[in-house]
Amino acid sequence: MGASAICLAIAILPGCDGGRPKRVPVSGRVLIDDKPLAYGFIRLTPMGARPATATLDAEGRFTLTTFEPGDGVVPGAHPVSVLAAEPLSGSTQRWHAPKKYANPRTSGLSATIDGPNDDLVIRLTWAGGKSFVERVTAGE
Amino acid sequence: MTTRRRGFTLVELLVVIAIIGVLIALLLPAVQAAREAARRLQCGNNLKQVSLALAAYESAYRVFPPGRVGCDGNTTLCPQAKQQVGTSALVLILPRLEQQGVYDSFNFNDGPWTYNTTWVAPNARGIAERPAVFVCPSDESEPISEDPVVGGAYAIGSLPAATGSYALVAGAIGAAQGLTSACKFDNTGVFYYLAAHKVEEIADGLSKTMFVGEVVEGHKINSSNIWSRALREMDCHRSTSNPLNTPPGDPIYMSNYGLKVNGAFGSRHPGGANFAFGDGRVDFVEDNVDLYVYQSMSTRDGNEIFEGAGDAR
Repeated sequence: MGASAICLAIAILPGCDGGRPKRVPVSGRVLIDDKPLAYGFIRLTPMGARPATATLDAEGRFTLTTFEPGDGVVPGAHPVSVLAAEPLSGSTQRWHAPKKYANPRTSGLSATIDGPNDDLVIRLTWAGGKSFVERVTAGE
Repeated sequence: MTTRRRGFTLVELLVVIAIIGVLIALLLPAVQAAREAARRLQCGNNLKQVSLALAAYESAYRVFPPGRVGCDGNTTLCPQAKQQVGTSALVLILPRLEQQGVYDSFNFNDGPWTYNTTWVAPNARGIAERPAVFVCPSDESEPISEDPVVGGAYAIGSLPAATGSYALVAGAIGAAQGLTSACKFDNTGVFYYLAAHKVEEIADGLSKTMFVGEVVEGHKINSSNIWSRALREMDCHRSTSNPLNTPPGDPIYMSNYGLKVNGAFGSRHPGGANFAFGDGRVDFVEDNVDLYVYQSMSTRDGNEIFEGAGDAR
């Protein structure tokens, strides 16, 4: 009984962080037309691992989180998406960056993470457009 | 002659206590893990009951119940207030979970969960009920919602609304896409506003499509999980737009109405959460799952078939 309990305990103890991949701390900025993006979220979507996400502050700065706050992202080359839709009510939102950046398949953005990085710069552009308010046909 | 008194020396006692201490320290995590494993099993069993009840509903009506019976305030789709009902599919399957009494306590001519307030009094009893099959033993949520809207805006005093541990899978469209009517009315899963899907519309296969998942902190306003109601990215209406186990209030959230709603599934089980699939199977999905794989498992006809999460793309 005692021996089997010890074996069980030893088998389970290292399992606390077991299966979780190695992450490296990454922080940086999102710029749109060389100015900080003042509202939005950034997400890196690795293949075969959990995505890393962060909220942008008023200067466009972010610190990525995968499992624990600020633990960074799994190394590799990952698609990047930036959602910059600020809800103004239940049915209107202001887009601070073009919609295409919100989807990793259409954003055209990627980032290569090969080690800790404290100044990953993601550059967006309006390409002549500008910030707009969208009305969504869905009430509360 | 020296007389030896029978007994133990201090050192002997200390050594024995130390050994016992080490053994207990080794044993405790194992006991806790075994208890959690039992809770997880019970939790998965409840999920199985819910998914079987959904299947039984389908057998009777040839469609799965809509995730939310009515619209929101959208007067184009639902011109009458009576059609703007927030009742969740879990209410509709109550008779198939041996909860006929709770089901009968609801007044379906007037709500529950419409915009006007007349429905509150006749439905209050059912909304305050918390059937055990909707509660996961690992979930530490309070039984009654803290949402002030439930007691406040609906005006009839404080209506205690019971929470649950499970929510239906609306699809992959949610908070991470910003505000979009597709989240409510044209989502990629099976259970969302108005839509009552037939089996043949679930082209990915019932065994490949997630129907019901787990939710934590259902009593808190940012992660409200009132079982009798379905709201966009809240209550019974959740999405896979955020990774599994994204903590309530964490990005990517919708901040309308001053809330931080991310609509994510999650659990207190270490490393992932249980999901019930359309065929009644319950699987444990790891929270390190590739987002693409996770979202594909939530779609009804995305044309992706995954045998094991992560090995197919």
